[in-house]
Amino acid sequence: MDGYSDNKLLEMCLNPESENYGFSLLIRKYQKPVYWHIRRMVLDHEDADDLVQDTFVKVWRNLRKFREESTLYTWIYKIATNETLSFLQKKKLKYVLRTGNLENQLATQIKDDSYFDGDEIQLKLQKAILTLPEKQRLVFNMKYFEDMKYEDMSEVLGTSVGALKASHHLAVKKIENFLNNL
Amino acid sequence: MLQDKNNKEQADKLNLEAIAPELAKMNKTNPFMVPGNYFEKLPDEIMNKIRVPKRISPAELLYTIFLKRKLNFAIIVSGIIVILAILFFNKSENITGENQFFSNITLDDLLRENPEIIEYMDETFLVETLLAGSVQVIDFNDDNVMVNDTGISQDDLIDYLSDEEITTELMYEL
Repeated sequence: MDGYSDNKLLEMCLNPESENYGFSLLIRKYQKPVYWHIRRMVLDHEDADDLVQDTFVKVWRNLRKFREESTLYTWIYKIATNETLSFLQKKKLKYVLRTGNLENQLATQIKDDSYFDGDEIQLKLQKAILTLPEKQRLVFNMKYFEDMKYEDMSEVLGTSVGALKASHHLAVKKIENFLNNL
Repeated sequence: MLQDKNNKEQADKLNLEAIAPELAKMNKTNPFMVPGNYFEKLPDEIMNKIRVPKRISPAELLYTIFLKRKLNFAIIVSGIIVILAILFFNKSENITGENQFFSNITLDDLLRENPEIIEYMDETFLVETLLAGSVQVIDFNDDNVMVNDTGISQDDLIDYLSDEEITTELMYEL
C-alpha cells in the first residue's frame, strides 16, 4: 500500500466508488509522519492523537478543493501545521491566564510523561527546543528530525527559503547556547 | 541522485558540527512513544469519523428549515400571548389578605433589607419580579390604578420596557 503514488491515491479518493478505500490508504501512508510532526510540537500523545485525527478529517473534507498547486504531502502537512499552531495558541492563552508560561509547563510535563522514554540528554534537548518560538520550533523540527527540504518547508509554512534558512540557523545557535549553559 | 543526496547530507552535518558541536553529537533517536497498536487502529478511528453522511434531498432540507421556522414563530407568538394575559389579569386583580401585606413593601424597603439584590437587578429580573407578583411593590391609588410609592404606574413600566427595546426574546430567552 505504500507503493501507491500520491496521484493514484488522489484519483481513488475522488472516485465515489473507491473514496473510502483510497482515503484509508492515504491515511496509512501519511499517518506516522503527520503524527510525529504534530507530536514533536505538542509533546502530549493525547493532544497529538486529537490533532492528527482532526487533520485527516479536514483533509477528507477538503480533498475536492485541492488544487494540486503543491504536492499532496505538503498540503497535508500544511493542514497539520495549522491545526497544531491553532491548538498551541489556544492552550497558550489558557496557561497565560493561569500560570503564565505554557513552555515551562510543557517542559515540566515531559519528564513525568509515561510516553517519554528519553534519557537526560534527550530531555535537555526537548527543553532547549521549547525555548524557541513556535514557528522557529517548527522549522527546527522539520529540518533536524524530519530532514525536510527547505523548498517543501517553504510550501508548508508559507515562508521564503531564505527566511527559513536564517530561522533554522538562529534556532540551532539558541539550542547550542542552551545546551552549553546547562 | 543518491550521490547528490549523500553529498548534501554530509554538507549539512559538517555545517552543524561547525556551528553547534554539542547538538551535532546528539543522537536523533525518537524519545517519544505511542500506546501499543496505535497506528494499526488509527486509520479505522479516522474512517469512523468521516463515514459518508446520508445525503438529504433538497425537498427534505426545505421542509426541515420551514418546519423549524414555523415552530420558532409559534413559540414567539405564544410568549406574547402569555405576557399579554399576565398583564391583563394582573390589572384586574384585587389585593386581599396576604397581598395587602406585600403591597406595603416598597422597592426601596426591599433594597435596604437585601442590598445584595442590586447586584442581580437588571431589567429582566426587575420585570419578572414586578410582573410575577412574588413581591408586590405596586399599590392602588384612589382611582384604582396600580402605582408604587415612587409613582410609577404599570403603563409607565410598559412604556419603559418598550423604549428600552426589552423584547420578549430577551426576557424569556427564546
